[in-house]
Amino acid sequence: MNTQSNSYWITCCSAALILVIITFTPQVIPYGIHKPSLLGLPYTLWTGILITVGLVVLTFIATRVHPGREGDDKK
Amino acid sequence: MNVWLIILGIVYVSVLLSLALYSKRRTKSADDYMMAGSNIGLILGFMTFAATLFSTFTLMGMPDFFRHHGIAAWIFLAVSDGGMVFLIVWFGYHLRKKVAAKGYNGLAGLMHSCYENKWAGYVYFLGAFVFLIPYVAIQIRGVSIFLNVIFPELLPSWAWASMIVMVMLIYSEIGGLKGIMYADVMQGTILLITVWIIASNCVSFFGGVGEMFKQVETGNPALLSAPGPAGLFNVHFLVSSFLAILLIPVTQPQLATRLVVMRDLTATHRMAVAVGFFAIMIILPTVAIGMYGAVRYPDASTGDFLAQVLFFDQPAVIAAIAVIGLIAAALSTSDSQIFALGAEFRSILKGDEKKLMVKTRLAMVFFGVAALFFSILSSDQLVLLARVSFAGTSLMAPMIFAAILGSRPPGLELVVLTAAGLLLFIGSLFGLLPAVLTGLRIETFILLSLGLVAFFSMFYRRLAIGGGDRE
Repeated sequence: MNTQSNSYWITCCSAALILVIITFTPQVIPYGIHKPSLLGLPYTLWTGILITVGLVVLTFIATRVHPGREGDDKK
Repeated sequence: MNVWLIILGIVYVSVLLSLALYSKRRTKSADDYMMAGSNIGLILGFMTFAATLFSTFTLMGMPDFFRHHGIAAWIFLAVSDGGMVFLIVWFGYHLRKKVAAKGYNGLAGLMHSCYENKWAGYVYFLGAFVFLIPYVAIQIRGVSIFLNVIFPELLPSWAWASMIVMVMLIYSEIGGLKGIMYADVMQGTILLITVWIIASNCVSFFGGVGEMFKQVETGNPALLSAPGPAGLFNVHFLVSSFLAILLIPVTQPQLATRLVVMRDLTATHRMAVAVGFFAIMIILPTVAIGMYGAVRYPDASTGDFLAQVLFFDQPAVIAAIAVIGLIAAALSTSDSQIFALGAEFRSILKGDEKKLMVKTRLAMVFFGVAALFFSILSSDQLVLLARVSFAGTSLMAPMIFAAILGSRPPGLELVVLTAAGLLLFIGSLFGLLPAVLTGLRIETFILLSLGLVAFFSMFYRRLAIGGGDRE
């Protein structure tokens, strides 16, 4: 495992953690508020979709920088 | 409509049985049968994981959840699934590394091996059994109440449920895990197509997405934000649900096994990304179906709403596809769970391989029958019952993490406390204990407590015994 790969991996994990934490704050789930809307979607829905897409994109990046990928366990 | 349903039904069951027989011909050993030869590529791995994860709970439960509790249901499931696929990248690597060192017949067997104590395997198996049977049951329940509403004169609910269990057991017993995986590819595809066609029809009814939400706002604006009309989606509920769903691939054997049987780590990682995209693709249309129900059938029962939106409001061919799609959704999850429970049962037994296989096959029949009885007795709150299943199995995560991450056997205290935690949670479900402790939902409190115990137990062992280094 090289140090650079490790630091990329840790950055990815930190970004995913931050996204998850933000999800449960009033930034994403303000009680009783559904504006501003985007393309007709209520606020919590479009921010939720963005966060989900963000997590999947981070998952993709994580697979490219995961320290274990260099010693892949091919059978 | 009935003609379409009969034609599609015959085609569906024929393809299922053909796939099972095809798999049977290629099965050469018990490992092939139970672990699909442990050489699964990206496409098969991704489709089987997705079809196993997304089920009746998604196609029937989520629209009903959106209809009753509003759009924050997206945070409840989709964001949690986004976190889950990220966790797979990390956990998949460590699980596969441990399996390479210890071997794998099932998580219960792996716990036995890692803890060097058979009780670790027993506690895991019993926890999985207690919380997976209700999950299987709601798949069967969901489809049987739907079929009962659309064909009230034909068969009672329990008879539909019995037929579903019978079909599932027949093709699972014939084809083994590979047969189930082949079936999952077909069933996952049907599920995705069905849900998008019905959602498109729902949006067309309003004339567009914006107009749909405007009409929801006119009828019940509380549906458009957290915590929803009933106040369900508060931060406590969403966080505890996130943790429960996040840990599904760690604690539920049907998914953990799918991480193990992938060809290599690269395939496992790519599968995680694909499942993440699939999650978005499958949950997004359920929002539209739910909002359609909120406007047109706000006060209907679960069965009536689903029968209307999935069947009576659709053109004949689409309605027939929806029925097959629902059955496919239920079967693709139930078969994997029943099979996984059978594999877990086998992994805690020892003895002659042939006798073990006979016992395993009989155990699968028993699990199927147990799920059938539970499905007849359970309520129609599909998503909330599923959540109980996720929360229950998630309590075993600290015990599993300690086993997977440690290089020496973890302490037995973790096994004992996990068993106690499972009993406490069951006690709370029956109203014997409060649902909230120290301001936290009881399952979150127990999970965090077990997590702390696992951390300190591993830390202590590292200091006292010097065995805490990861392999």
